Amino acid sequence: MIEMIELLSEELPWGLTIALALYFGGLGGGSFIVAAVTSFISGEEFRDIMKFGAYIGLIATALCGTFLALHAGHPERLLYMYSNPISMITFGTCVISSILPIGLIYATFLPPDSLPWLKSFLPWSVYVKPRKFFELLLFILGSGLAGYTGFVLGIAWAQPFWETPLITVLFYVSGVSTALMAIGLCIAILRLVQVTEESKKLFVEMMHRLDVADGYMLLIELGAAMLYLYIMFNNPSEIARESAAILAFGELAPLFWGGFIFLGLIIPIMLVVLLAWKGRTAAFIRLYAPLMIVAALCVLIGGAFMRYCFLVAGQLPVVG
Amino acid sequence: MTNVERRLTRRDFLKVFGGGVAASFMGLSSPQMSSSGTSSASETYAMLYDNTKCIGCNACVVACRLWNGRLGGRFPFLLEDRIGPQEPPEEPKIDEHHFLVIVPHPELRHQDGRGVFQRRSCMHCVEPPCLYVCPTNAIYQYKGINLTDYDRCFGCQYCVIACPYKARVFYEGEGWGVPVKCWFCLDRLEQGLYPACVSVCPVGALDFGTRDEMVAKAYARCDELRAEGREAYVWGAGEEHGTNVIFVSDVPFEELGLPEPEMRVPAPEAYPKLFLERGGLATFGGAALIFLSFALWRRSRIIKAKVKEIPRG
Repeated sequence: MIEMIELLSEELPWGLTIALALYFGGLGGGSFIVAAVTSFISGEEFRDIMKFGAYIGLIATALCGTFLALHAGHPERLLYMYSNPISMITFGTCVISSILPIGLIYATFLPPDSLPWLKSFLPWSVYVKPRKFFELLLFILGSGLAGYTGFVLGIAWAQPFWETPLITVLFYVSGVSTALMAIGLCIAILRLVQVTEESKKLFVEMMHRLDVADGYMLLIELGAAMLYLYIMFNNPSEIARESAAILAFGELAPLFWGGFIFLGLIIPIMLVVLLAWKGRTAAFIRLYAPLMIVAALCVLIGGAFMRYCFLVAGQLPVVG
Repeated sequence: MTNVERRLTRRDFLKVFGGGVAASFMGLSSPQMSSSGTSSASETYAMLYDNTKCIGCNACVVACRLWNGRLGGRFPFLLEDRIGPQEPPEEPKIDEHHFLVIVPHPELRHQDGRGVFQRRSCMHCVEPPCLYVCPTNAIYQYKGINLTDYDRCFGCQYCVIACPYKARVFYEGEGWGVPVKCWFCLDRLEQGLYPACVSVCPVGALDFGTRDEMVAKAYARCDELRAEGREAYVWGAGEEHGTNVIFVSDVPFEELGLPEPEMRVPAPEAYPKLFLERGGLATFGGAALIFLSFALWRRSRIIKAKVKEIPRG
């Protein structure tokens, strides 16, 4: 499969590195969105979700920037990237370079419990109101980053396969979905090492919230992906129809159906529905964390396949 | 422009000398632009390609490669160690060694029965998408020529993605890379010479001058063809969404794989408009609303659950 991925993207202007940059951009933006929304809804009850949202958001956004730089022919000219305000890449560069420092400040409000000495260096971490301000800021910037990963393709006029607002819906929802599950993965792993009944209960409650939210996101993503294919098969542009055919029946079909639809959507949807329905019952409670880990890994891998498939499908007919 | 500094070795000298001799044999440096062709700063350069005259000899392709591949020129990296005849590609494709290609269309015939060929290169769009998408402002227009400042280019390849004609190709060196393409041989224009491809065309299928002249010539040629009882089409001559490479053909351009330029090249204001009109912001807002409505729904459920827990007095 790795050979197939390398072979397919070998001649393309935007291949695997850009797919990974878009993936980590969505994950980073989504993580800040989840952290902010959790704080606005639940107050301080689910502080761990906010913490992991901040940490994952920072790491993923940094990785997004790193992959963009790895792809570039002249990464040392990074400062020129702010020159053209109407370029989508300039917009993305501004968002990434704003998120990183603001996200870092936000993370200092949420130091890990495992490092209690750190709190003495961060006396402001006890204040909630200033943190809320950063959360609002990061919700906007996170939405900008997750949306950017779709816009940057949707506004490249020469590729008819990307010329639809659905690409933004798909990438945005996928970003939030992967973020929910990345945080869910961390919470599920931590749940396995909890000792007190009370903390175990709290962690199960957090996982439950995350998997219900992700269930909705996955259903929207599945609907958007199917609608996308339908629209592209009925597109007046021959290139768009050819791209859709490559995705659905051609070289990309195993990755699209197997990697994205089945592994990244169908299996996790079944798992999150099962967990939301029966997860907190006595018979299932022990399996909650392991099943959550499986669902999270599926969503994370599937999200990467999705980015790759849509990125490559838009370029293949022109090259081939 | 990037000037890749290289030490001139004996081997390099022979290459330059060989290339120069070949170029002079091909007459690359001979035809001078007419005085009318040397435009003032306010004028725009354009190229006319008449496929009813083209015989597919590929002299233009070879000339382009020789001129732009010469060592010490603006594109010193193009030919590298591969000066001399090479196996022709199975299907002509624009790449770092070919800024222009002549694509044969064996399935088509001109109305006089000859085979059909079509030039493919940078079209030098009047409103170039590559210029709008470039985050570093490395792409700019000079007298209608779309040029790239290789000292500013970040190498993100967004211009390669955005080009409707696939005319830009990414050239990778050791640890660097830039997108390269036809530049109307600006260094020749500055010396009062025609672009390399125009200067060697043996049948006059290529012409070069100001845009007004080329458009007028294109329509005049159409009149000639129609007078001969043939169909005639002009491509790219429109003021809006036009290109500075203008085509004349007696075969419909759709059959040559060239749709109407209007369909492919956006207006300059299209970028922000696209952002708004194509539902970009609406979609973005919609996605955020979905998430927020879900959040509020959860909140109302929590409040309802807490209300239920309050003991009734």
